[in-house]
Amino acid sequence: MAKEKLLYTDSHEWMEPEGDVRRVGISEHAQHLLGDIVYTDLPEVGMKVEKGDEILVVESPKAAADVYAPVSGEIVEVNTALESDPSLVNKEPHDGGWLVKIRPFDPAEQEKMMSWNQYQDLIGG
Amino acid sequence: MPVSYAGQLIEHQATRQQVGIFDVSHMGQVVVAGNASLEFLQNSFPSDFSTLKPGSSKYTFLLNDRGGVVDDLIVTALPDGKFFLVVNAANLSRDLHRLGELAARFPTVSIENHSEKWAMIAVQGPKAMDVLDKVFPANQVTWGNTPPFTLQDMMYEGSCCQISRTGYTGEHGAEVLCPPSLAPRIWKTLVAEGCVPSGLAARDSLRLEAGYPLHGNDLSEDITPVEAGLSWAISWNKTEAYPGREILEAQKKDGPPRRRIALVSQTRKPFRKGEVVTHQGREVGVVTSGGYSPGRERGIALALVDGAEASHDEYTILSGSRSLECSRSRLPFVPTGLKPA
Repeated sequence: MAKEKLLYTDSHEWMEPEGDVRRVGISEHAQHLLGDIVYTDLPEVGMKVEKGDEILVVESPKAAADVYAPVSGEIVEVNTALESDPSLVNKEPHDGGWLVKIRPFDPAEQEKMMSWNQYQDLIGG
Repeated sequence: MPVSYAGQLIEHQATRQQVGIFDVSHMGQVVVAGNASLEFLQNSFPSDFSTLKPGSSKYTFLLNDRGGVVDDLIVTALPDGKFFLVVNAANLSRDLHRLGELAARFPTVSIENHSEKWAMIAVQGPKAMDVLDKVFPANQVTWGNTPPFTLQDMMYEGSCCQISRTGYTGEHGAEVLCPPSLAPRIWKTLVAEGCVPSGLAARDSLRLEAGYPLHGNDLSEDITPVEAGLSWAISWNKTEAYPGREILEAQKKDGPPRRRIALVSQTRKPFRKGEVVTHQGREVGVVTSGGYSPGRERGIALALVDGAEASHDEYTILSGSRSLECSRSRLPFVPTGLKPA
């Protein structure tokens, strides 16, 4: 999905805006700040999370960054392609570098997320 | 020196496979001069310089009275009887202070800080020597034929420069010392020859893969060279009583209280300085340098563990919220140009 149509958090996660199950990742801006991502500590499928919970860690040689649940829900899939090629998060942050799929408990919760334009204002883009 | 230019991994691989360049102008340079220079060095450092030929270099340590490492450095004998020291930037003022203390009983010896006189560009990788021969053509010298740990003067555009056959990556190469005003032009020339500008992050992952210590991590005033696995750099048979000698000798004889080990993970997760090392549930040590090895695609670490716990094959590192199994590695962690498999 085009990055302009995704929803964003102030901690630099993105989430797809519609569907029963939504892909979640980190933004182009966030991956750029982190540098070469060499490891993603993916969570267990089936884990139930509250909005704002730490769901996984992405690590570059110089930094480890927590990724937070953009909404409350259940982790229903993780991107296993990252286990052999974590650099997908750098190369395709809004596409092939997605991290988890989440089934939101309450679709209305995403109303508090930012649009692309709002997110651009946040990062000074 | 920026953390990276085009990306750490690209820069790291460029040095392992082709040639990378590093602006290490921050490094400090100190000249030891005076008739008693050799005697001063012999009584101050654990290495033997009495047989060091002019133009040859040695890796050594500036020690405190406890045998701890104030700095690790490279000492080169110059043709005019002086000695040229290249030291870590962060330690320069401590080094000058310590050298001054040690030189107090050698009144003819002077310690001169030349750090402002030299910029320094490291050219490293399998193609480094070819590039140097092309960029710095010199009468009767093929840089590729000069041995490691030698230093020679050369002229570049009318200015006196030096080529030191040293580096911090495990690859063949040199460090080019030049007047700061010339450095931007040399840098651009090297880039035009295909050298890949590389930053601090790649410098760290290259040196860690090569198993080289970083002062402030793997060496400090509270860690001796024997503990750090660097006994090879100590000249045990020399006669002079340098500071810390008795402590180093006792550690060599009885075994040091702690030992440096090298560990490789089963996952890619980079290890971090300060993470705890355990064996069968017992806390046995701490990671002094950790990172990600692009060559092995695994987390790697240098750690300092209790002397009595240093001979196991398997350890566990408490990394973030995880306990990660790891096994001992030989050094270097990966085959390098200077130490192929």
